[in-house]
Amino acid sequence: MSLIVTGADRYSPDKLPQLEAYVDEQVANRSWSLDANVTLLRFYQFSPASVKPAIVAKVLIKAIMQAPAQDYKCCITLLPERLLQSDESVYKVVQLANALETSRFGDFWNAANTCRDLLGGIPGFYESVRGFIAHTLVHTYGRVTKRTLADCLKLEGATLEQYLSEKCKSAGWSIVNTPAGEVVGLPKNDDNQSVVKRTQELIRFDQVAPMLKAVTVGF
Amino acid sequence: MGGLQEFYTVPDIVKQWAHYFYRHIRERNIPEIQSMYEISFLKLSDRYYKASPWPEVQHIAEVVDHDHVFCLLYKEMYFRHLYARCQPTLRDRCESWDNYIDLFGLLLTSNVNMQLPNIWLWDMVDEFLYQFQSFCQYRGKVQSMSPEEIENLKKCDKVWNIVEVLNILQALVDKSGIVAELEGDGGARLSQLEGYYPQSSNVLRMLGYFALTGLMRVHCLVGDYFTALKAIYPLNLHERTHLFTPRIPGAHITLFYYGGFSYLMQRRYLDAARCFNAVLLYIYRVKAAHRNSPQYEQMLKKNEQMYSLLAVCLALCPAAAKSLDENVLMQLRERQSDNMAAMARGDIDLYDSLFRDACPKFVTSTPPAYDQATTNTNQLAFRAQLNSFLLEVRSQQTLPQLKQYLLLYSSIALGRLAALMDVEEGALRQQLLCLKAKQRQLKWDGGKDMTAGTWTVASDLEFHIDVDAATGREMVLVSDSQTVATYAPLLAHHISRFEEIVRDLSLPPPVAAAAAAAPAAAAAPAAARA
Repeated sequence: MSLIVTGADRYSPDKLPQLEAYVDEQVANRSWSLDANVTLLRFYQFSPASVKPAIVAKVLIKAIMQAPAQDYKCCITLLPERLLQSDESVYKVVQLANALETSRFGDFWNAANTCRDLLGGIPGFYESVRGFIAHTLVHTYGRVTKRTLADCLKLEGATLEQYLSEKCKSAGWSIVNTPAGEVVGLPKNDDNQSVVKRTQELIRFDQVAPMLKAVTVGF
Repeated sequence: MGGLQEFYTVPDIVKQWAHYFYRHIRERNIPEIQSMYEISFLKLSDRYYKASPWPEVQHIAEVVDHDHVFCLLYKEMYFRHLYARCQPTLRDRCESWDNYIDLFGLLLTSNVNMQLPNIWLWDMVDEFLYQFQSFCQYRGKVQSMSPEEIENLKKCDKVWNIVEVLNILQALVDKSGIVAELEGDGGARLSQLEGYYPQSSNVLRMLGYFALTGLMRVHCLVGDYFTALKAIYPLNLHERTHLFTPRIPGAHITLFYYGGFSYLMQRRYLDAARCFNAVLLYIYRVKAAHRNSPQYEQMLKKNEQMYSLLAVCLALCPAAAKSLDENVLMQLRERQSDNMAAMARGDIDLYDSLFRDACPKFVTSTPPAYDQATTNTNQLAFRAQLNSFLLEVRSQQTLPQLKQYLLLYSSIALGRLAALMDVEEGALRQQLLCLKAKQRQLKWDGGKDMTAGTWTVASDLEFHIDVDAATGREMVLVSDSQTVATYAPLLAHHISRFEEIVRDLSLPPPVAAAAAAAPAAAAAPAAARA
């Protein structure tokens, strides 16, 4: 099902149950519709009595999973601060998001550890978050030590090796042998290697044409 | 009628004004309607109703044939004047709401055969939302109300209700068919004919057009920045060729203020700076022509607010300065250079105070709990947005200092840099990753969806981390930033300045020229920046 809310329906509370059901559906089949979820959170803001914190927490977790897209930011500014502080699950999810947003991956994993039940109910959560962390690393590191990788991704031993071998197959990562031991080579992009950028100056003829006319008119 | 007149007399000249105003509306004489609306109404207000409301509608109904539509229009102006010059009571607020419901309801359902000046139609949408905001502020101050007033207020749950407000704006958009029209030709016809199509009324079309901006504003006021940017579809702040709003400064400034602010709150500083740049340049060009307009003060206020917001954008993303017009940059430095230096040092209080001064008046969308309200609930919405903004600022607080260190080296071991900065290695690694992440942002690059874009690196410092093969240590490598002097934009700018000077010198004397230049000046920025 894809739920599209348009026109006058956009602000009609009749849609609330459908939108709430749709959140569970998105959780189950790993899909995401920012538009529908923002509509739901807007209803909640307009009618505080109908807020279901458990659903808010789910929407926020799903929004975090969209990173690096800013969907979490789109959602969080719609919610009253009271709700963010009073409900324990919602509060924890906010802490998770703030840690990820500032690349405090260690803090993130510690916080995630305290709400495993909540996160375990969202299929694909860890996968998505590791995807985002890996994305951040790939845009910062040319080569990275296994230690740093292990800390950031919270993977050790065999699970780390398995993760790496999958990345080597699918995403262009590589294991590099150096005198100092094995390090992981990350695919090259504009951000993780030295590039000297030169801006080329372009000036269109029509920008100088009047000037040429002005200076040559006396001759 | 006779009995009433003993208590209340309407000056003849006011009656005459109403009569002729009504006649011009019937005759669809746009220039006359506009002049009576913009000039005579204000003059009469100053003369007879400086601090009191205009006559209630029944006192002038006789001279306007008791025309239903005209009476609704008159009441719209009556309440607008009352809000501006007097303190509206709860009753006034309710009656004005009812009047908007009747007026918009009529325009939506019946085929009115009217032409009204576009400026009035814009003012209607603008005032409708102003009164909505005003009501939200009013009901939040429960602690200063009498029990009787609270009892009355409780009965008004439909009045200025946010869902109703959104529904009305949405209905104006839907019923006017404006979206389909703008999708069709990008607004070319509308902007060319200024909305006055032969053989058809401009009223619903233009109300729909302005309601797009209205929707953006309401969504922004409740912290829904994503929907705010979606709401003006298919208008687009980056493609301004056929944008009609530059003809009406209030409409144009509102559109770009809320648009730029929504981008800012979504961490899209490049796009925000672009919006502010465009509209600040516009204000710079048109403000002289509007010196005597009643909106002049408001225009200057928004101008200053947007320079503050632009300063915030640049403090958080210095690379955004590259896209600014030379003139805007100069004006910005004049006003904000001290502030910008302090923000670059991570002065949170300054971010706080600039945000406070320049942010929209957020609304708490739900009524307070009337029986237990002890504090002013209006602050709730504002606090939430302020805190959300400051959270983002704090997450970047240490980055300027980090950049200062990085500028000193072309390569340095991570451990050594950590020791120099007196932080843990892990903390430094986190800051470096954070700096990289914060340098990436979405930037609009075409298409009608303003929320779309591609990821762009907006940085004034390029670096990456690598592992030294011999030692296994993490090294921070800072790219040579080659500052290439860019002459081309500067030259192009001076050429056009030179052209303008030459053109001005060859113009007729200023008195005649000023009148002729005013409409041209208003139209010019849209074309020039397109």
